Amino acid sequence: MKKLSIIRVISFNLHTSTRWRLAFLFGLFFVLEGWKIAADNTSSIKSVGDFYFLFFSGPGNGSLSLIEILVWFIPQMLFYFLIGDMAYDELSQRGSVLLPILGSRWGWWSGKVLTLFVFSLIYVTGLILTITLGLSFANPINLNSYNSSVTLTSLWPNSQDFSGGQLILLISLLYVSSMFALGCLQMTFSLFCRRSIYSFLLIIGILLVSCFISVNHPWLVRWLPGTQTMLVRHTFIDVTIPDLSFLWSILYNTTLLAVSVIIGFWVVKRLDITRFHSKC
Amino acid sequence: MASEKATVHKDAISVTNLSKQIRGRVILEDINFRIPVGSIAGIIGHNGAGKSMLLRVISGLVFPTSGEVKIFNEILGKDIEFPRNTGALIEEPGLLSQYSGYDNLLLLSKIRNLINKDNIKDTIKSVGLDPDDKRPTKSYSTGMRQRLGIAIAIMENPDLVLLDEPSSGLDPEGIENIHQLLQKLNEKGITILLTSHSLEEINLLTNLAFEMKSGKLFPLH
Repeated sequence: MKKLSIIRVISFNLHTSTRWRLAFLFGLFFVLEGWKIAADNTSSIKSVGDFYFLFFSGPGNGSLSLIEILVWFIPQMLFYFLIGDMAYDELSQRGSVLLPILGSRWGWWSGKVLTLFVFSLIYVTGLILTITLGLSFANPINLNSYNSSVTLTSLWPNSQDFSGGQLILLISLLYVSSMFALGCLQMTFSLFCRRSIYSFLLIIGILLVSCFISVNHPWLVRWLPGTQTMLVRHTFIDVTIPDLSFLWSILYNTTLLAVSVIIGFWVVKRLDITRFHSKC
Repeated sequence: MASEKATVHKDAISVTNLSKQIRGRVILEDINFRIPVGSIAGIIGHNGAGKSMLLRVISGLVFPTSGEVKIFNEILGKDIEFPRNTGALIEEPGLLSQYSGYDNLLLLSKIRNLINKDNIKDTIKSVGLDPDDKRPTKSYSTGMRQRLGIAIAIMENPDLVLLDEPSSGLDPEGIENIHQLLQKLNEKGITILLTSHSLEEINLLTNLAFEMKSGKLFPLH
């Protein structure tokens, strides 16, 4: 028997388990969102770094503005929506065909986890590219004429330490690691609960609770899954937040991912694959 | 052509003292049977009798509460997680509704890369469908979806085929077509286990038959 190629498994999963048509629609939405943010902030955006900072840094811990929350929340919510069918729905609808082809439950689960990683990379890259496209529509000046460093020092004094490139690297790593970890938790919970919608709502709940609960409790920020993507709630930007470093976020996300992968496999290993009915 | 491996074993399927309970409810009770390599075996029974569950256990999709299943002498859950070189259609084919029939098979076949595009087209033709039909499967009738499900089960030339009510949703011509296909596959040495509501179908196709009643299996012929 030929050995399974993980690349072929990931390719199959990317074809069949994500809502690509909606992803393209969301791409258009992000172009518009990037354009709107750039157009609304022409006076404060002096550099490409400022624009990325406004879009990706998340709502601050001191003052919660609805616009800030939505700009941070919508791209994440859409990501978890796009991957909603990845685990449970496939197993319930195509498990009887796919699992015997793959030959093992671990093969199926590891294929899903790796596919989620690849999809997180594609999504964050696509997000950065589409909002940058929106920015270029909003401002007729060529992007190259922008100073790339962050200049929003009146809002966040420590932000001046970052160039646009550094900011994009930080944001990409935080977003990809966080979406990968929370996406894996979502897949695991969907298998446990046997309903994709419940796991999607769980993740949305985690994001919103993370956003609001820590406002009066800065010590909580580092422990919440949703705040790991919020650059402005990291100590190197906001000194009132204790002990939330970039490294902490990466370790936190890695730990969450490892726990989700192990629990997920534990569930898959014991799961009877029948026509599922919700357990929750 | 069925692989050499299949021919060196006496039994394709051997089930011993198999039981399955879900939340205290007995679904399968002390099932024992053997299906020799190269035979067509059938299980008849009403809805809810446990036929589909038995196929799911044999496919490795559902864990038995007790008992043992051997496929070509390999113990399921011990030697292997899923039966090797086995095609199955259980309940619904689980098609990707936005893709054509051909694309459904192509995507699945790419996972193991055992067959080429011509093989896929031949398989689709063998179940009476048009491989050049570009319509998405969501526009297929129940019978067409069923045929495509059978095509998926047989496309990689399995040694063993498990079919849950393969003629369900088919018109008389489609049933005839599938019967001929199953007989042809069996002539190639492929072992087939199917379930059905129809005693006529079981008598016509199978050389070994069982009846399932309330989770228990009884020999018919």
